[in-house]
Amino acid sequence: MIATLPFGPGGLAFITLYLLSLLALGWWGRKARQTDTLKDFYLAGPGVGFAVLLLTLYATQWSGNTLFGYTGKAYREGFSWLVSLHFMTGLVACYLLFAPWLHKLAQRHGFITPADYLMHRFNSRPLCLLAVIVMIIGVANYLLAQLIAMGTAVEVMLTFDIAAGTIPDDPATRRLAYGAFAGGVILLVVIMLIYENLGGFRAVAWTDAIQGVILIFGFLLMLGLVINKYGSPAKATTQLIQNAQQVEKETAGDDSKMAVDKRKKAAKKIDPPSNTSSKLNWLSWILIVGLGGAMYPQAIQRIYAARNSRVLQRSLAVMVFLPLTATITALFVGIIASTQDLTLKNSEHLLPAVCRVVMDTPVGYWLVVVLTAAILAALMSTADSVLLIISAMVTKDIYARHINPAATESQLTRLGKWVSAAVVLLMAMVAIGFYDHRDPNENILIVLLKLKFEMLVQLAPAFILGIHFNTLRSGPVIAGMAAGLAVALGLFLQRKFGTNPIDIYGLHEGVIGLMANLLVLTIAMRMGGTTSPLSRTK
Amino acid sequence: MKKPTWPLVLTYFILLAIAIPWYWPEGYRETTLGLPRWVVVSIGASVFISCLTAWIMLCRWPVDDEPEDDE
Repeated sequence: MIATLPFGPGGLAFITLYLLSLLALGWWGRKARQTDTLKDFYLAGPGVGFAVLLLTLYATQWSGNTLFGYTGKAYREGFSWLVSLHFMTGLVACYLLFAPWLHKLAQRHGFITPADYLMHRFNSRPLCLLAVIVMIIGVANYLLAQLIAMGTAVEVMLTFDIAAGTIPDDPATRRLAYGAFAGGVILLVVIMLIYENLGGFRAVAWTDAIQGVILIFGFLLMLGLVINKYGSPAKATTQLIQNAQQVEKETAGDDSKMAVDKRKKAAKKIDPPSNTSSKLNWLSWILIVGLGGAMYPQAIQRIYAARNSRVLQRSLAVMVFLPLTATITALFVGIIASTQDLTLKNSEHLLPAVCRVVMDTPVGYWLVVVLTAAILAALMSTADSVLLIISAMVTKDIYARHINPAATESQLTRLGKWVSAAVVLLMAMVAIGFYDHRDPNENILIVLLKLKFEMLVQLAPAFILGIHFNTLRSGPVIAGMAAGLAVALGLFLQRKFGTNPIDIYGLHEGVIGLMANLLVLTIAMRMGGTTSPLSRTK
Repeated sequence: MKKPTWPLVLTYFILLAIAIPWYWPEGYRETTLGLPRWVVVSIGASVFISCLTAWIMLCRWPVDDEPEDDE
């Protein structure tokens, strides 16, 4: 049976209006253009003010993953996913390690891409190239993930069957689901490309501002809907405690693997971490997302784009409180839903499942329409920012630095727009091509999506130590980065595909890679001396 | 005179040590405000970390302001 389209004309008109408003902002961004330069296109000329910077940072950092992935993870893991609050707070706190100095340098020297800082500081083309490749691979995966999530969002909203807890597996629904996925990806990509190429960073930041506001409302709405439908977090806590006690009673004295796993699963949702591995895992999460997330090139671009240091200070000071609303909301939604018998086959279908349940009243219907706009906002605001920074890095760091140093600013800006189009269309084709292969257990490229933080965190020494230690040279940084990447990638692949994976005590591969990175960097510094006349920290 | 940063770093470490629930007994299920007590304490520590970070951003920004707007 084909599930009926859940949105009527009113709901679809609202979503259409929202998407059209993004195009209008792109056009206004073009009208506001001051000069045909890279700085104007990629950093909005003199930069953006407090409100826009705050909302663009927020909307960029909080992706579709927060809405789909975090609610799904809390649904599966219960209160142990509280760690997400700490790593998202840690991410903002980690900016204190380098953002104040980096912003000042960017204002003084006119940086546009993250690699501009590395070039200024280390004067090393190999280091810049390696860093740019790591950043492009890291965030291109992220872009692909957002596009797949966009298609999945449209597909699930149109075809999800709440009674079955999945998308029905008959030929007609399968065709509709594929059409919805491909159509969703193409439509949203085209809209994104138009407003981004019209207005550059201005359009992206302004649309992010709208998306950020919708996202904040969406999060609060989501919690309200779930509490209204299923009860409070306190009620869910009582239920989880009772469930754990019930399971313990039922499996008492049974030491079979199945009984032990069942006990562990029920206890994990409500108990504090009990073994060394799960305790270390908390610390590891905070390090990998805190440091790795701070290295997002699109976030570094926003540090450059702050109009002045006061704007950056105030934006970050407010942003550090936002995880207390967003992650706790996602956590509570997942936990409350986990006490219900939703029989989901895929935990990332939790949000659509909840939406379909609450849509039976007129108020619930309109709330879900706004929430859908928030989901699209979360996906598009991250995807557009990633696309813009990839375009900037390919154009400025690869083409202008290595292929055609004589290119004019106007030529580079034009090329940047073509790069955006090529990258996003390629990624859209890959996303649609992956339609039947989205299961992380079967697709190596989907597996590699999870490597984003493991890779980006290896850049932390170059940025953070580079800012604070003026004797640091490029050689040790490259050696450390290469070692860190090799260790992280090696450990990750052997855990995923090895028959007998090494026990790394709950630590992320990227954290172990970072330790190797710092070790090699320190040894290389001691072996090769530390001074370099070309290194500049001012 | 530049103020020392070690008290701030130490405060971060203490708050982080409180926020990560490594010190609770196994199977601890007491509640506060309807939520597991370890969750309430961990969220409380996170609130303090946010307050500390915001205060540093606003009052102890480590780089001197310069008249960037005048460029």
